[in-house]
Amino acid sequence: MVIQIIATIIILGIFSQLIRKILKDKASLTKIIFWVLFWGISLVIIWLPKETIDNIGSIFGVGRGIDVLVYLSIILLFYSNFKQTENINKLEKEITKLVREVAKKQIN
Amino acid sequence: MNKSKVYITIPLYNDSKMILKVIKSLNDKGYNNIVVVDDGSTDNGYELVKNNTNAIVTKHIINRGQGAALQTAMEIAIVRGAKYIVHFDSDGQHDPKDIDHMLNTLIEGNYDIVLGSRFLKRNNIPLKKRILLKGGILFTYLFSHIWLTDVHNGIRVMTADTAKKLNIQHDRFEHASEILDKIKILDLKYTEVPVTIHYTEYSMSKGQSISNSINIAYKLISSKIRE
Repeated sequence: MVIQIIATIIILGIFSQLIRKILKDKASLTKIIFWVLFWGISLVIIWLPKETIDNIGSIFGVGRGIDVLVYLSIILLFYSNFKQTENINKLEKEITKLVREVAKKQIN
Repeated sequence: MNKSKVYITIPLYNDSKMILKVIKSLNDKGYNNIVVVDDGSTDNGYELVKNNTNAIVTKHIINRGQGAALQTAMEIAIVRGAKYIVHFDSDGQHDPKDIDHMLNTLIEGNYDIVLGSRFLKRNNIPLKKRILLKGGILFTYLFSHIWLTDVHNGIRVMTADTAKKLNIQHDRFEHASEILDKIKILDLKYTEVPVTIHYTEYSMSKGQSISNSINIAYKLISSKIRE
């Protein structure tokens, strides 16, 4: 029960951040929808009865429902890490292009 | 041989101790089209070249890596009308005497690119370096299916057309493997010629370490996967 309360407080905190971003118009609509859905579903799952979660787990061939969540989180983390690396590489290339153009204009 | 269409490209990074000597040795051999790209050095190499030589010199405002600096230098050389482009290091490892022979080989053999090899002649390569390089040769074969006697040897001579096709995308040291990979992909006509590498304490201190080599391999493999 304690862990569920702590997780709920954290998720509500995240929600308040999301609302702040919406109000300030700082995030794209698709991102907001994704994160609202993600954390909303997480909140529901946290408060589902243990038997229901374990039933979901057995559908995926995993004994405990919580394990499904852990596996999903790891996949999500790997994916976001991959995406970030991609973005950094793209930025690096852009920086090089920029530095090169500046260098070409400053030939002595 | 008319050297007015030959451009020597030199990426410069914190080599102020050697660069003037290197440029002078090239001038002495009749090479006067020298493009130096200072890659965000923290020393005064750029100013030294600018104030004391007739080289074409420019500066990356921040460090982008040897591959990036070479690409900048090649683009400058092409715009200036280069017919042949030479890659040359700034640390005094390479010998300007080798360029003549490499250029003759390129022209007479109608090659697209000529690579220098330190293993094709008697050499005094230190053991640690030798093992590292042999590992690099094997990696290059597995990665690019191209069997060479030497890899990551910075001295290369190519036609301007080849330089345009190469278009180096890897900013850091991976560019040396990228070039070999592209030789295979673009089906370029290439050969190796023996060259002398002067191993000094100074040049060795700037060479590749094992961890760096692993890093290069990792970056190349991951970029190949992403393609």
